[in-house]
Formats: sequence, C-alpha cells, structure tokens
Amino acid sequence: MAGPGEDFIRLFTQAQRALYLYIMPLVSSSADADEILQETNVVIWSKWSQFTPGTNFVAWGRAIARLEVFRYRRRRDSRLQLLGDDVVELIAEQSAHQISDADQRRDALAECVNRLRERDRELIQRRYNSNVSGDEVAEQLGRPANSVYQSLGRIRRVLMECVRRRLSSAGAAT
Amino acid sequence: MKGKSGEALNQMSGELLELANRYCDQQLTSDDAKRLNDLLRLDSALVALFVEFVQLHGQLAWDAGHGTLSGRGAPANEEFLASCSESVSDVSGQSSAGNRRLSSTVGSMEMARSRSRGLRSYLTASAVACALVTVSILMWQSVSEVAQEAAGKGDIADIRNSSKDVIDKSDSAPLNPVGVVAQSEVGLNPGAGTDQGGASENSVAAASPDESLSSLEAVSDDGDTSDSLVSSGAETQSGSDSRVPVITAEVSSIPDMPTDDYAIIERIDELLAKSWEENGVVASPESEDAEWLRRAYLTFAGRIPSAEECRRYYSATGDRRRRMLVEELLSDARTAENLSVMWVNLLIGRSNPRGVDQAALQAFLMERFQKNEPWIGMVGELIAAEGRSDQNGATNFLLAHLNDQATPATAVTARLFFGQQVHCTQCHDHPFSRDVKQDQFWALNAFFKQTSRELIKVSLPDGTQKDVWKLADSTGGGMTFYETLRGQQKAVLPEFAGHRLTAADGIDRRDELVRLLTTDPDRQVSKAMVNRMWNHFFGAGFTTPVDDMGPHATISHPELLSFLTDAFVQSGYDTKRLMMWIALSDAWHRTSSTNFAGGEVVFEQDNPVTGTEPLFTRVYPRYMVPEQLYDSIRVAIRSVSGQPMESSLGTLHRTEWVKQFVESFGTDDNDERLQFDGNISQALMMMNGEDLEQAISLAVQSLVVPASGKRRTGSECLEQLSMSVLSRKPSESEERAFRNRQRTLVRTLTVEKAMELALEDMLWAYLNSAEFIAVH
Repeated sequence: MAGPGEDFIRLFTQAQRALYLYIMPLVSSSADADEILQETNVVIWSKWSQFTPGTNFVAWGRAIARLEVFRYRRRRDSRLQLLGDDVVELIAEQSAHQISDADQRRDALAECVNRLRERDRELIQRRYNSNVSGDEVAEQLGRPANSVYQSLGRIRRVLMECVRRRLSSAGAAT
Repeated sequence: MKGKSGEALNQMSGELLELANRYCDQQLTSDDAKRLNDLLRLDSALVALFVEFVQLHGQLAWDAGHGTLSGRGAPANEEFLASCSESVSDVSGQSSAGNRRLSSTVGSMEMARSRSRGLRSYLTASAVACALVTVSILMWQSVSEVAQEAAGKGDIADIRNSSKDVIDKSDSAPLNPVGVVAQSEVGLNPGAGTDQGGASENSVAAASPDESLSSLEAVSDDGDTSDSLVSSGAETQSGSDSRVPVITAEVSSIPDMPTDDYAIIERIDELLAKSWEENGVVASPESEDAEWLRRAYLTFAGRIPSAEECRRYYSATGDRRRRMLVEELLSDARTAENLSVMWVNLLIGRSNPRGVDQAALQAFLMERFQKNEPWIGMVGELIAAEGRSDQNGATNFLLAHLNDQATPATAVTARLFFGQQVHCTQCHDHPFSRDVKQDQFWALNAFFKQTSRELIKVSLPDGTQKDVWKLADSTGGGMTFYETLRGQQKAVLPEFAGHRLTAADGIDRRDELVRLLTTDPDRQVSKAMVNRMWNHFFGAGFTTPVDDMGPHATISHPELLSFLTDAFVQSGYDTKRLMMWIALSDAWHRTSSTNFAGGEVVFEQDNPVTGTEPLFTRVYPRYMVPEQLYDSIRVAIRSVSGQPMESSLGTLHRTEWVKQFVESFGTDDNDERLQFDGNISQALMMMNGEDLEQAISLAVQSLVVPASGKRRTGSECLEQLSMSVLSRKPSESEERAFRNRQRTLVRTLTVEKAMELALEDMLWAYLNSAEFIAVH
C-alpha cells in the first residue's frame, strides 16, 4: 500500500500552525503544546488513510488533538490540572472557532510586532525567539522578574488590540 | 448566567486578561487558577477573550520558533549564534553531520521553501548544540584550563630543570644524556683527563671491580649527611660490621590512629573544615544526585552509569543511597578493571614502545585489585618480579624500563611508588632541593643492577613459537658508577631510606628493596598512593604534580596527608578502604559547578589550575581520560538503544583507539604525552565518524520504537537520551531546543523521521557537551 500522497502531506504541513494554535489555550506552555502536537501528528500520520480528501483537514486534526490533550492531561503533573476538565471543554470549543481566520491574524500580528516600540519589541523577541521563560528574560536584562511579567502582559494586550483594529479595518475594506 | 451589565463584564475582562497573562507565563497560583476557572465558567465572552489572548501568545511562540518574528530588529537567532561562535566551531563536526544527514533524507519530500531550508536547518542544528554547549561551558569553564595545565605538564618540568646551574646538555641530547655511561666502560675509561682539574674528594679514580667496604666509606665521607633518598630521620647503616642490612624499624603501631572507618572519615572532614576556616573560605554546597552519581561511576568504574543504573539509584530512597552505591562500586569488578587500566598506563604507558605484554600486566593488576591485595605487596611484586612476561604479568613493569642502564626503571619506580621525581638528578643534583643529590638516584638505580632481560622463544600448545621476554637477575654484587656534570666518576651502593646494602655477591637486591619499603620510616609508598588516590577523586592532589612530593614540594594539607598516610599503613595498605574514606568524606560530595549563589567566589578562591594550593572546597572538574571517554560513549549509546551493558567492554579496540592520542617521546624516561585536550568532536571523529553515526542512528531508531512495546513519545525519548548521556533529566532549555528542532523538521519530513532526526541531533549535542566530557 502506498503511503500518504502529496496532497495529504501538503495539508498536513499547512495544518501544523492551526493545530498548534488550537492546542495552546488548552495547555498554556509552548513545550506542552509542542509535545501534544507531535503526538497528534503521530496519530494523524498513522491514520492517514482514514482521512477523506475534500473534507476539512484541520477539523479532522483538531478532533485528534483534542483527544490527545485529554490523554496528556491525565498522565501529566498538576500544572496542567489548574483548569477543570469542563473548562478545558469550553475553551476547546471556543478555540476551534477562532482559528478560522488565523492567516489574517498572522499577518496582522507580524505588522503589529513591527510597530511596537523598540524596547517592547526587543522584550517580545527575547521572550519568544529563543522561547525562554520570563524569569530568564529578567535575568538577561537584569530586571526584576515581576516587572518583566507585567511588561509582557502589557505588550500582549497592546498587540491584541492592534490585531483587532487591523482585522476590523481589513474586514471593513473588503 | 448571561446578561450581566456591560460594566461588570468589562471589569471581569480586565481581571481575566490579567489571569490569562499569568497563564501564558505559567505564573498562576492555585488561587488564581480557581478564579480563572470561575470566570471562564461564567461567560462565553470571557472564554472567547481568553482564547484570543492565549492564541496570540501561541502565535508569537510559533512564529518565533519559525523565524518569522524577527521583525526589523536584530535577528536574534544570528546574534545568538554569533555569541557562541566558538562553541559552534567546537561542534562543527556535529553540525555538518546533521546537515549531511538531513539533505540526504529530505529529498523526496515536498519542499516549497527548500532554498532557505538548508541554511536554516544548519543554523538550528548548530543552535541546538550551541545552546547546550555554551551553558555547560560556563558551568565547567575551568576544565579547559585543567587540560591545558595537564598538557603543559612536560613544559613545567622542563622549566623546572632549566634553572641556571643546569646545563642544557640534557635537553639538547635527550637520547644520550650526559652522565650515563655503560657500566663496562667505566673501568676502562675512568675519565682521568677530566678529573684532574676538578675537585677530587669524591671521585673514584680507578674503580676496581671488586668493591669493598673501604670504597663504600669513600662514597659516604663527603660530609653530606642525608644520603638516603628522602628520609632524613632514619639512621644510616654504617656498613662497617654488617654485610646484610638489618631491618629494625617498626611501622605497625601508630598511636592515636583510629581504626574505625567512620572515625577516619570524620577526621578527614575535621581537618578539611579546619583548613577552610583558617583560609576564611566557605565550601561549595552538596552536589545534586545526578552530578555525584556520575562522578562516582567515573571515579570507580571508569565510565558513566547506564540509564538503567541511574534509575536504580534514583529509585532507592533514603540518605544512605550514596553510601550504598560506594559499597557496591567498591566490590564491583569494573572498579578493579578501572584501577588496573589506570595503573597499566602509569606503569608502562599507553604506547608500549618496548613491546611488553600489556595484557598480562593488566590481568595481574586486575586480579590483585579485585582481591584487594595490600598495595605495598603489589608494589613489591612489581619491583621484585621474575620470570616470563606472559606467565608473570608483573614482570612487564620492569621489562618496559630496563633500557639505558635501568635509569627509566629507577625514575619511574621513584615517581610512582615513592612520589619522588628523581629523573633530573640522574645527571646532576636537584636544582633547588639541596637534599636531593645525584648519588641518591644512582643509589636507587643500583638495586636494579643485577636485573636483565632477554628475549626467548617459547613453544605454544598449537605448535607455533613466539617470542617472550624473560626477566632475571644475576647474583653479582659490586658498585654502580656514574659521572657528575664535571666528568668525575663516582660509585655508589644500593641504598634506600637510610639502609645501604653491601657490595657483596649473593644478595638479591630487588628483594632487599622490597623489604626496605616496609620499614621506610617516611612511609613513602603509602604517602604516594594516598596522594595519587586523593588526586584521582578530587582532580588535585596535596602536591602538584601529584608524583613530586620531594623535600622541595609544597604540601597543601600536611596534617591530612600525614594522617591518611598513617591510616593507610595501619589498614595494611587496604586500597579499597582508602577509596572508601575519600569517597565518603564530606568534601567529595560537594558540587564542582559554580552554579549557585556565591559560586563564582568559591571558584575564584579555590582554583588550583591558577597555581594556588587546592583547598578542596569543591571537586575540581577535569576531562575524561580517553579510556573513560571510550567506555562512556559506548555505555551512552547502549543505554539509548536499550541494550544491556556488556560485562566487559571491548578493551582491545579501546587500546588501539586510545593510542591515537598518545605521542611517545622515546626518551630515556620512556615518557609519553597524552594528546587529548578534551576536544570531543575530534575524539568522536577518531571513533570512526561513520561507524559512530550509524550506531547513533540505529540506537535512536530502537529508542523510538523499542523491539518490544509501544512507540515512545518525544519527551520519553529525550529523557532516555539525557539519562543515558548525562545521568539526569533534560533541562527545560534542552526540551525547548528539541521541540524547536522537531518543529522545524516536521515541516518537510514525516513525523517519525522528524522525531528521529531531532533526537539524533540532541544525542550529538549531548555527546558534544562539556558536561559529558568532564569528570565533575
């Protein structure tokens, strides 16, 4: 039996980001999200023949990811049990809705990051580019960790507002 | 629950975003979490807001991981790489290997952005290694200095020799040093010509072959009282009435010496604590289990623990597990093997230029260490050995050093067993130690005068013949002659620790030397072994170099050294007990890293590589020796692939492999230098790059999909890797590096392949890390 075809591989590749974004709100740490994504990928790959071409690949993958999240939560430490199962269900449902416009969001976010003040952009890049914790960023900058977390929170809100504005103006334009 | 006022919702939104922000940074307390759950249950608008916010966090993380977040600012990735370019070059073997593997496997995959991919994967692979390596190098920065120091050891000795009154003839003609004259020539050519102008009080004008007591007195009447090699307290045998030395000294009873192991360990702790207090220093904190566990295996068994052994250790509970491990390792055959390898290298070297039977010597040592024979007995066996090189392994020590009138045998015996560097006194008095005279070298050399070797043919059971060496003694007596720098001829009789033999025939001089060892009031054999063992455990001895304990040497902890020397004698030269005392001493459990508050201070105030005296407030990191490295790489790869440990790792291949690092000088001291500077990628290459690459690839495959059982997840695999190589769980930054790598690879490869390659890259990075190659 032949392996998955080129179409499948392309869909699979394209879905990675969407699946990651779907998983992220359910676990919060990128390490956990990565791990679950990889486990999801393994399942997707092993079940490739069950996918019906023409249907929504991301939705199919999301269903698998959702099961993996719960499986993961069961065998992981209490850090992941901060949210109740029922709350995770609520988030999962909502998260599935919100990734449909992910591409526009990505472009908008890239632009918004560019528009940040130099200092803020640097902080965001430090935090995410090498994916270190806020504590490590604080150490690098010689700032109190608390103030770094506050700054990160502020910048994230600024970015969220910015993305919203850009999406709504883009929506109005089309 | 719907229909709350806009104001209330607004207020809650602010609170929710605050909590969501903490959620993103894993800063939620359990109270926060309770509140967050309540809020999310309250209103779907809040859930939507929450998702929007955390997805933004996810986007930032994802896009950053894929290099699209660089914006207009400095591309952090390159900056990062530039900041550790040194390490990248260190691991260039790894990077290019990773790159090569990638390009060969990716070909069939759909690759829309393939043009930039090559470079990126190269950078990422480097970054993985780089991230690990830089962190580790910072922690173990002193290692390279240690290695430099070790590599330059020969130079240090040279410098010491080249003080002004030493004529550099010995350097310019190392193969034929002045002063060494074949014995037979002395009688014929007494050097009368050069003798005339010089002071003649000591010179033996014409040495007659049958020496008598009168010439013996002629040797000793030059007014210098301390003729013994080191000891000053011993009464010199006058030689006037007894032809055979009478051994009277008693060493067995030592007042106030505790016999109980715990009392001895306590005393070690006390003495070190006292020295810390006197020096106003604070010792490092206790090491983590992972660090200590690894240190213990490398020190005792000569290799890292397997993943299985790590887990067994970690699963044991209670504070007795370190003690239990020490006891287990002490009786383990691998410890005996490790000691025997160490001592083969010390006794005859790795390069074996004289072609003696290395394996037989090792078998001899291994058997004795396994039985824990008294150390002084082993020394005696090595010094007095007779017979065939293949039948009596102990003979190979002297067989390797009998060249050049047994001067190497003299020097190596003094250095290894007595902790005395006398090779320079072969040609002249010690440059700055007035107590070490040239005649002492020759007085020790005289013990080997009767000894000779010959090559004989023996028939093997299968009918073939082979050459073996035979070590034998004549029974002849007589004096040993040497020439001073001024060209005067002198003659001495065998003398050790204040006891002088006569010139008579029929005395087995090596047997006599062995007898004298046990009565040496200075307990040099014990002192030298204590110092060497302490050095083996701590990475520094009480003297530097460890085998130069002569009168000029500065001893960092004289009271402790003397205490342990006595304790070792009292124990009957019990090597394993000596090891146990050191291993269970408080200081040996302290961390070698500086990664704690105040660590830099400890590092600076106690850093013997700078030439200061060690304070033993920490264990000093050093590079593995090639044998440790070889065995450790094998253990690591077998652990990864889940294979059981072999009872005996392939020593033959190891011996050959290790030789690549050895530069033999072929000098009279049979010196060799280890050309191993801890450059692991060089070492890995020498392991036969392709074989190793294949072994690693296969190991990772069987790690991901074990022969029996289910496919493992990425984090399970990574944990097995770090446990196999570094005896610990992966750090957060390592997990991140792994995930970023995997994430990059999965865009162009199948999931399985991406995970495998990411794991391979991690394994290379781990093996390339300073943390792996250091004994710390």
